[in-house]
Amino acid sequence: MRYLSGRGLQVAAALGMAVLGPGSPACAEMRPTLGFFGGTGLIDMPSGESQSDGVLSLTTAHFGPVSRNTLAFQILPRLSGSFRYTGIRDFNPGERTYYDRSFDLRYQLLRESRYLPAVTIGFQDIIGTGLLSGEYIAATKTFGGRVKVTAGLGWGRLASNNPIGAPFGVRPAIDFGVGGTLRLGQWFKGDVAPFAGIEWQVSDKLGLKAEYSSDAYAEEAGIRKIFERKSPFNFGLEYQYNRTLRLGAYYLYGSELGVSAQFVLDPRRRGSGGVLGAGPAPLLDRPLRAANAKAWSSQWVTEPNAAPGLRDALQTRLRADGIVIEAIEVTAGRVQLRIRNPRFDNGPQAIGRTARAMAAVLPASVEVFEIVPVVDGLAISKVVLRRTDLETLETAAGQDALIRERAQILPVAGGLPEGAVRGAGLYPKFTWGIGPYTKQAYFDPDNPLRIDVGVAFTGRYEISPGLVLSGTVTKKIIGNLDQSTRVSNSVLPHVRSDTVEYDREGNPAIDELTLAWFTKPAPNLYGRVTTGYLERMYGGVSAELLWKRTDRPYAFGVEINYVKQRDFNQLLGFRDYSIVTGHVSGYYNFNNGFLAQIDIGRYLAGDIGATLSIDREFANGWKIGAFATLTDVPFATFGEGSFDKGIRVEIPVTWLSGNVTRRSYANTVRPIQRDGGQRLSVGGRLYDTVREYHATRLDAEWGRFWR
Amino acid sequence: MGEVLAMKFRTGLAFAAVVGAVVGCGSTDDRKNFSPVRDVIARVLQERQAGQKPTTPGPYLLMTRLVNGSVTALTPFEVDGAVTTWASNSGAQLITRDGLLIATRGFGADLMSAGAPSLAALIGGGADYARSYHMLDGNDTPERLSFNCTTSAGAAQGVAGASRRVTEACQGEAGRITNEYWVSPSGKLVKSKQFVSQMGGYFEILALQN
Repeated sequence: MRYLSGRGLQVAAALGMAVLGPGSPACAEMRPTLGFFGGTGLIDMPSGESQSDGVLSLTTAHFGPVSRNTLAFQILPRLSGSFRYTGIRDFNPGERTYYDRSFDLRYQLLRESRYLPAVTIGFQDIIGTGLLSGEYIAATKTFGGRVKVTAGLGWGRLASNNPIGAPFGVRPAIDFGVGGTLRLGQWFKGDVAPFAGIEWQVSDKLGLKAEYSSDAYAEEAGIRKIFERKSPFNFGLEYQYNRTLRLGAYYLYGSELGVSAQFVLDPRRRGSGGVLGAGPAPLLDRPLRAANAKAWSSQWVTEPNAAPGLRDALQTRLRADGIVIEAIEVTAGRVQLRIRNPRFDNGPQAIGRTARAMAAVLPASVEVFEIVPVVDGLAISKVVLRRTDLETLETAAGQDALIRERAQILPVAGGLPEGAVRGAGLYPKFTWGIGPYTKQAYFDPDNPLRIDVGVAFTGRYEISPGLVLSGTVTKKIIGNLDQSTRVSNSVLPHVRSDTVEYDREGNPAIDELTLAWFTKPAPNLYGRVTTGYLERMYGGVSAELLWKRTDRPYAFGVEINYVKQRDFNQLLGFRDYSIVTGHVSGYYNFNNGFLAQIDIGRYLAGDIGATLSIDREFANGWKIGAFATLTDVPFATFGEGSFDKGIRVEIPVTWLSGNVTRRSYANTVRPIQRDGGQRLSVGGRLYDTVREYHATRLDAEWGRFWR
Repeated sequence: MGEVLAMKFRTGLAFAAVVGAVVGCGSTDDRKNFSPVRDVIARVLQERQAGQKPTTPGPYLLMTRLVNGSVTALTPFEVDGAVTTWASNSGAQLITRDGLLIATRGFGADLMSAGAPSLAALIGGGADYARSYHMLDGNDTPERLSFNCTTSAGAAQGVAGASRRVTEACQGEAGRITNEYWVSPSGKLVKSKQFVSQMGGYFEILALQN
């Protein structure tokens, strides 16, 4: 496992919880398995199948001198993409290991049906160096639920063994320049060769594979002779440990032994089923009006301490759920409660719990509950519920949809309503925390994974609503980030590529120390001003304005920053470089869970361009996405990779453990970090904060309202 | 790709947050409290086995999750007419209407709500009827299972306090489920085996009256 990539190790560690968690039995159906390239397939050859929609997989496969670690995502039911980190030992004399990164895309043309096979068209290594590049069409048919037969045609690398012709002309030579660009001209050109294989799921646990490979390993075995390819036949035995993990042992090309581990995560499946944790307090009904007219009197509202009294009673009830009352406004028939939700990863669940507390505490004359989630002092939206509906639907079948039909999600003003009373003891308030942290660096050929482990100290001082002083200091305990000898060769201002210097000198480091002010000047307008040490490399001032309606899937924002580069030691000093950077942003939340964002503006190195980000977000908080930035920096000036791009994954801890928390495990992976197309990384950006309690997101998560 | 630069991410703190869930500390108190039910149930069971009259008034439920054999004891938390919310030590809940399960909370693969017959209709038998189970999948998205059910009555096989057994057989698109109810002469549920959800399987529920 010496060559397992950083991403691999880290995700594997996070998944440890899922893998070793409550034992979910392997299911009986014949699942599509993964091959050595990390895509759905046999051993070294692809198959015509695809994974279930949304599945994220990590495959680590090794044979002879070759190691491949692949992260793959089933983006849509038929479309999948993968990112691979390959290591080949002894590839160049004198170099320990040659590392290479590559992206694949595959599309399923045909689903398997009674008579027809599943058919997939695939494009391997589309923007890397082209070492692995090849195209294929593969067809797979299942027989009797236990046997799958695959046959296909390969081009490029996948036509290097026994080609049968070149139907679409000569394959042009590769000129990858600085890499990172598509090679459309090569697709399906040159020789074509057949491949085939069979897979037999002997039992629920045990699977056997055999294949005829069309990959001659011309470079590795032919030219460089780093292993001997004696035969085109490969054989494998795979063991399904549980739903998540499948292990394999193989005999490849008549000479080499191989092993693989496939981690398959389906965001739609949770080890625990749904979330665990204590159930809600039962919803208490009011007495019948006819039977108890006195209880229905609205006389209580004239009592001098009505609002603070009810607030305190509600806060006592809500404490078990971690919910904090920000403010309360009472009238005889309607109560508005402004709340903070520091615990539930799901907005509707927090709102449902709040409604139950209101039903238990508020006098019978209060019929309308208005629940206003507040984040960083910003009132986000107003969820209006009728108490009668709550009482009627508490035990109704299909209650979640029924209450949603009757609830309203409305805009809310930023300021408190007249006569509102604030929560007790909220401002000013100091909170702190101490915990471990890790920092990782990937893809350094000298050491593809470096890790630092240390202690992070955080402090947060809430001065008044929307005004927060906060900071984080980290102190490394152990690690090897400082051992990297890589020096940036970037010809642009070194706005990001001096990471090694920051890692070496920042111990202890002030990761951030900021004063942030959040404001809501109009019901659909949100603002933020942050000043101080904004991130580990920059300090300065950042200002942002976001326009977003509660009931619309789109939003617009503008951000402007004046920042100065911080000293490598990440204490109080600055370097000479300063710049005005900022963006105009457009956001769109598609109904199917896809989020799109376009940022146009000036980046840290002074380059001008745009970033497109697409994320797929699940109702349970899983988020998987990709981004790319093109600026006026020419590819040759940018350097290796040509332009900035990357993928990101966010896994909610609630999904892993079943226990409710807002924490999540998030990671962004770039094939390479350069200086073009880099944005400031300031905390507290408004869009994600605001949309959590707007209609599109609340609707997606609504199923947990009664949980 | 000869020359490569190492790269770093700001994930440290996110990861720290994850780990911090286990070992971190801070100024925010996040604890919850629940009344200990298990001790009371244990005592009641002991007293029953010894043939003594229970010293603590009931009722209680002793519930077994048939998928893994785990046993949970529950006590009434809230009674609202025929609907009782039963809570365990850890705050997990069963919600029953006349003993028929209409919801669960805190077991993971929960039954969120159900369209269930009344106990009287179930015992009375007769025509087929529709039943629905509403749950959330692993992505917190509502799922609904619909069934057509029919009941049949038979002798109670060695269940103390029960005079007959009612079997409820339900057929739906998702397949077949069978619920079983052991009923006392006065028409109360003594024991039952009730479907919860596809992943949660069946719960066997033993009602412990005094």
